[in-house]
Amino acid sequence: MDELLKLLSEICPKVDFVKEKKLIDDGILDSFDIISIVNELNEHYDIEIDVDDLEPENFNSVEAMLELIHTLQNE
Amino acid sequence: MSLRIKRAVGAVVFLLLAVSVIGWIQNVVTPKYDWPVHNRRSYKSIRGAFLEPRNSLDAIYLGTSQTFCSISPMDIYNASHIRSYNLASIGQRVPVAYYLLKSILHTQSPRLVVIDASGFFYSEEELLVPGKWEEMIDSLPLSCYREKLDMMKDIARMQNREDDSEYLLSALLPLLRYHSDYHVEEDSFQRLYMNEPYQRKGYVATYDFIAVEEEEVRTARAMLDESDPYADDDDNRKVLEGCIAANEPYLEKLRDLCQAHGAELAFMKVPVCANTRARGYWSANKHALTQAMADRLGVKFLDMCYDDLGLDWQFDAFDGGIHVNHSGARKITARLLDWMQREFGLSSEANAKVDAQWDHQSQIYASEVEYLDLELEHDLLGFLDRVKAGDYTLFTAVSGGIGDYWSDEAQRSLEAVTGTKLDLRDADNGAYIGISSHGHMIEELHDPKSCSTEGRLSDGLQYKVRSKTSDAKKGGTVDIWGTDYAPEGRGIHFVVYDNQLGCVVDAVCFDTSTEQLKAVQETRYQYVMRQKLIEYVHGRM
Amino acid sequence: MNIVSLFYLAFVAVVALAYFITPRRFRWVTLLIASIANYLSYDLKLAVWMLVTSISIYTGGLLIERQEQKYAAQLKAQPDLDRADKRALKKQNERVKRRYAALVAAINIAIWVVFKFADLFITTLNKYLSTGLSLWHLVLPLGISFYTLQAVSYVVDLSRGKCEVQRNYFKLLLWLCFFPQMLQGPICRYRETAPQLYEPHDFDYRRVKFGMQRMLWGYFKKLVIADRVVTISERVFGHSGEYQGLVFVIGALAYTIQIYADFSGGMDIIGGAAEILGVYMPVNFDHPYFSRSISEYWRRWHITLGAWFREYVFYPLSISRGAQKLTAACRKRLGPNMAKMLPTYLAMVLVWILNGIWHGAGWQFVAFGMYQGILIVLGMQFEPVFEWIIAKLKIRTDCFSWRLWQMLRTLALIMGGRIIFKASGLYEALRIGWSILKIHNIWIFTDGTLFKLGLNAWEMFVLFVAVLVLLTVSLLQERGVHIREAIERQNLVFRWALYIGAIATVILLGVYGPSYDAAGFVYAGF
Repeated sequence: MDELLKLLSEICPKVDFVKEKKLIDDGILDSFDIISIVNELNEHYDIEIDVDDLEPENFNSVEAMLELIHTLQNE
Repeated sequence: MSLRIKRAVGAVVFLLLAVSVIGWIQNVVTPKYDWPVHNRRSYKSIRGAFLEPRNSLDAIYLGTSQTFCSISPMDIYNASHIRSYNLASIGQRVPVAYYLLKSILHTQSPRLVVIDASGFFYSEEELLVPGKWEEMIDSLPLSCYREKLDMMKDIARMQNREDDSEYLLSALLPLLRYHSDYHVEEDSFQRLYMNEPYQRKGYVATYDFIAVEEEEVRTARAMLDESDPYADDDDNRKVLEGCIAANEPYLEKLRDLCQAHGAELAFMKVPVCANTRARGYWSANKHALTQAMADRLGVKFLDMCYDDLGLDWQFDAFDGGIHVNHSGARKITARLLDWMQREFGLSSEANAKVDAQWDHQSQIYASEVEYLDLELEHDLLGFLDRVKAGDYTLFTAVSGGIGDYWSDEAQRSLEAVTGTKLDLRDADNGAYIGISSHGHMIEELHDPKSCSTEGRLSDGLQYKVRSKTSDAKKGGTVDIWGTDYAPEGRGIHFVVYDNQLGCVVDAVCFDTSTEQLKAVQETRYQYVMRQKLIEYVHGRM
Repeated sequence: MNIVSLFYLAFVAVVALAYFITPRRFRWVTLLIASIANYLSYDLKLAVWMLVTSISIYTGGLLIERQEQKYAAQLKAQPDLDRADKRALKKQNERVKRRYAALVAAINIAIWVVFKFADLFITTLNKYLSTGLSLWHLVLPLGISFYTLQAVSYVVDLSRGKCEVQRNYFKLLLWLCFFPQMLQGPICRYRETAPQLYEPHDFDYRRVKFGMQRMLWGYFKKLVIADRVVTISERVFGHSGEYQGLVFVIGALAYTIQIYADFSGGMDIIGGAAEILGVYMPVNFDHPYFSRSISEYWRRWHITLGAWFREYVFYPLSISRGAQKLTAACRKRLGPNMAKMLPTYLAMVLVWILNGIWHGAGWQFVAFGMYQGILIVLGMQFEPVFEWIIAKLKIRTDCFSWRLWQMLRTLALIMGGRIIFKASGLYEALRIGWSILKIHNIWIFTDGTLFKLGLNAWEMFVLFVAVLVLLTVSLLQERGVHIREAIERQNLVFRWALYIGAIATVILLGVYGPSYDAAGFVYAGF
C-alpha cells in the first residue's frame, strides 16, 4: 500500500491519494494521469493493465488500484 | 381534487392560455392593410363581404383599385334595391380574383359577377408579385382555408418554393411569415377577425380632386382612338397579347366557376384618364383584345371608357387620372347599374330582414356622403349652400386680397351663411377674417393690410387666424389646435369645422382673382377626420 | 427532419402520445417505428447504409457472443488447466473477439471514410497525378458520422466484455437509429441508453414538463441566438476579403457564440425530446467557455465525442504493446520522463488529427486538430515553467481574477481554433490571423461598422440581451443551481408568466419561417 502511495505521489504530486475516493468520477485524475499511472504500474508490478481494465471502479481509489494489481498478478 | 386531475386541468388551461397569446401575437403582426387615412383598405373590405347575410347579394364586382374607387354598391342599392358587393382590391391579379370569388361563393349566390378589365394586362412576371397574393390570402377568413392553401400553392409554385412546407403552412398561420416584422402600425391592434359588416360594401370613397393635366387628357383620349397615332411605348399589341394570354386560363376558370354556381360573368372597364402603363392607361388595343377575349368566353363587355358619362377630369379625378373620386364614382355607378338592369335584367328579391340591415347602413353611408359632397364641392356657391345646411363652424380668411371676381351672388351667399355685414369688395376689407356658426358671427376682423386673431370657442377649440393682403401665396392661415389647415393660394379660404364630430372636415380655397374661381383643397384635415368618422360610424352600427 | 421546424414539434408530440398509450410491452416498438419513419423521411435510398451497419454489428455481436460461449465451454471441458495455459486460452479468446470487432469496425469505418473523403481523395489525386477523375458528390446518409462511431463502440465494448449482446435485431436497430440522435448526436454507449430505450416508461408529469422546458430553452438558444448571430459570422468569413483586423475578432466571437448556441441548443431540443420519452441522453456540453485550460475545454465541449476518442483510440494506443516498446526504445535518447510521455503525446496528436478530420474533409480540419493537440502538448510540457513564473511573480492563483484570466486566455485560444475551422481554407485562416495581429482598427467600435455586418442596431440589441440571458443561466448552472427545479419552487403566476414569456420570445424573436415579400405590399400597382 505504502509502496503504491509513494509511486502515485511521484506521478501526481498534487493529488491526495489517501483521502480521495472518487479520483476518476470527480475528474481529479485526467486521461494523461491515468496513462502515466498505468504505465508505471505495468512496469513496477510487472502486470499488463489492458484497456478493458480501464474502468472507473478500478481507479477511483488507491484501494481499488491495489485490488486490480492483485487480480492481475494472480492471473 | 386529486393531483392528477388538478394537473390535467392546469395543463389544459395553460395550453388554452398559450394558444390565446400566440393567437394575439399573430393578430398583431399580421398586416391588416387598413389605413383609412392613407386610403388603403383591403382587409376590412374583403372581410366585410363574408359578414353579409347568406345568399343576400345579387351581384359581385372584382377588379383593381380603379374598380373599388368607381363602383359604390350602396348607391346601387339606394337606386334599385339591388344588393351587391365590391370585392376589388389593390392590384388584384386575375388568379387572385378567381380565388376571391371562389371563397365568397361559399356563402353567397350572386346572379351576376362583373370583373373589371383593369387587371387583365398584368404580364407573367407581374402576376408573380407574392406580396399581392399574400395580402389576399391573409385577408380571407379561416373558413376559406381551402382557397388559402390553393392560392399559396399557386404562388409557391411560381416561386419554385413548392417544397417549402412552412411557406405553404403560413397560408393558415400568417404568424410564420410576419413574426419578425418588427414594426407596429396604426392598425396592428385591430382584430383580425372583425364582426362588423362594412357599410360601404367594399367601395372606397375618395375625397379629393386633383385635376388631370390637359396634355394627359388629350393623349388619353387619343389612345382610345384606333385611328390616332399617339401611343405609349407599352401599348404594344404583341406585348398586350402576351399579357392577356397569361391571364386567359384563370379567366376561363372564372367563367366556369360562375356557370357552376348559376351566375353570369361579365367584363367591364371603368373610366380612367391616363396615358402611361405606370398610370394604368386604357387604349384601343386593350379594348380590342378584351373584346376578343369576351367573345371567346361568351361574356358581355361594357367599356365605360367609350361612354359619355359626363365625367369632368378636372373635378372628378382623385389623384390626377388613375382613380376617380366620389363624384366621379357616382356617375360610373349609375352607368353600371343601368347596364346591369338592361343587359341582364338584374333585380333584387325583397328580404325584409336583410333590407332592414341595408337600410340602416344606408343611413350611415348617407351621412358619410354628406361630408364627401362637401369636400368635393368645387363651386363656390354650391359650397356655401352646403355649409349653410350643416352644423359647422366656418373659418374664413382672405389671402392676397379678394380679387376682381367676387360676385354679388357670392357676397349675398356669404352673408346668408355667416351673418356678416361687411362687404369683402371694400378696400378697407382687404384683409378679412370671419368665424361664424349657425348663421351668426362669432368673431370678425378686417383691415386694409393685415389682421389676425386668436381665441377659443365655447367647446374649448383653440384657434388662430390670420389674413394678409400682401402675401398672395400664404396670406390666409387658419390654425386649429396647432395645425394650419388653410390651403395655399390666393383668394378666399374656408376651413369647415364640424361641431358634432369635433374636427375639421374640409379646407378649400377659391381663387377669386380668376373667373373660374378655381377651387383648391388642402387635405391635411383627413388624418383626424377619418379617425373621428370611423368612431362615429362604429357608434352607429 | 429539421429539429427547428414545426413539423418536428408535431412529430415529437405524436410520438409521445403514441408511446404513452401503447401497451408497455411494445413501447420500444413505437420508438423504433418513429425512428425508422424519421430516418426514411430524410432519404429513402441512403437508408440502406443504416441497414448495412446495423446488420453488420448485429452479426458481429452474435459472432463475438458465440466465441465467448465457445471459450466458456472450453474452460469447462478442461477444468485442471494450469495457469499459463489458462492465460493462453484467455488471450486467444480475446484475440478472436477482437478480430471480429475489428473487422466489423473496419467495414463500417471504411463506409464512412468513402462517403466523407471520396471527393477529397479524388481532388488530391487529380491535383498531384493529373488524373481527370470527376467527383462523386456523394450525399452522406443521415447521421453517419455519429452512428458509425456508436456502432464501433458496441462491437468493441462487446469484445471487451463491457456490455451485453443484443439478440433482438430490431432492438439493436432502435439503439442505433433512435430519432433524436440522428442529426447531431450525442454519441451514446450501448450500456448508457439501450436499457432506457427498451424499458417502458410511464407518463410522468414532472419528467415530461422538464423535457418540454428543456426543449423550449434549446429553441431559444438556437432560434434567437444561433440563427441570428450566424449572419455576422457568415458575413465576416464569407466575405473575408472585405474586412481586416478586429472585425475578424468580432467574426470569430460571433462564430464562437453561434456554434455553442446552435450545438448545445440542439442538444437541449434533442435531450428534452428524449426526456419526455423517458430516455436520458448523456451530457454533451458542460459550459465549455468557462474552462480554464484547453484540456478542460475538450472535456466540456462535445463530451461524447471526446469520450469516444479517449476510450477507443487514445487509451488503447497509449497503453498498448507498441507504446511500451517505443518508450523503451527512446529511453536512452530522450531520458526516462520524455520517453514515457512520447507515445502518449503521439497518441494524442493522432487523436486530434482524427478529431479534426471527423469534423470535415479538408486540410484545414487536420490543421484544426493539430492546433488543439499541439496546444495541449505544449500546455503540459510548459506547466512547470508557468508554475515557476507564477511563483516568481507571486501571482495569486486562488482568486477570481486569476480564474478570469485563465478563462479569457482559454477563450482566446479557442477562438483562434475557430478561425482555422471556419475560414475558407488554410491559407485564408493564416491571412486572417495575421490581419488580426497586425491591424488594430479599434475605430470599428464607434464608426458603425458593427451594424453593417448583417444585423442592424435593433437585431444587435436583441442578440446582446439574449446572450446576456444565456450567460446568466450558464453562470447559475455552473454554480450548481438547477434551473428547472428552481422555477418549480416559484409561484404559479410567475411560472406561467415565465413560460408564456419564453414562448412568445421564441416566436417573436426567433429567426425562422418563410420570408415574405415586403416589397409587394407597396401601394404601387393600382
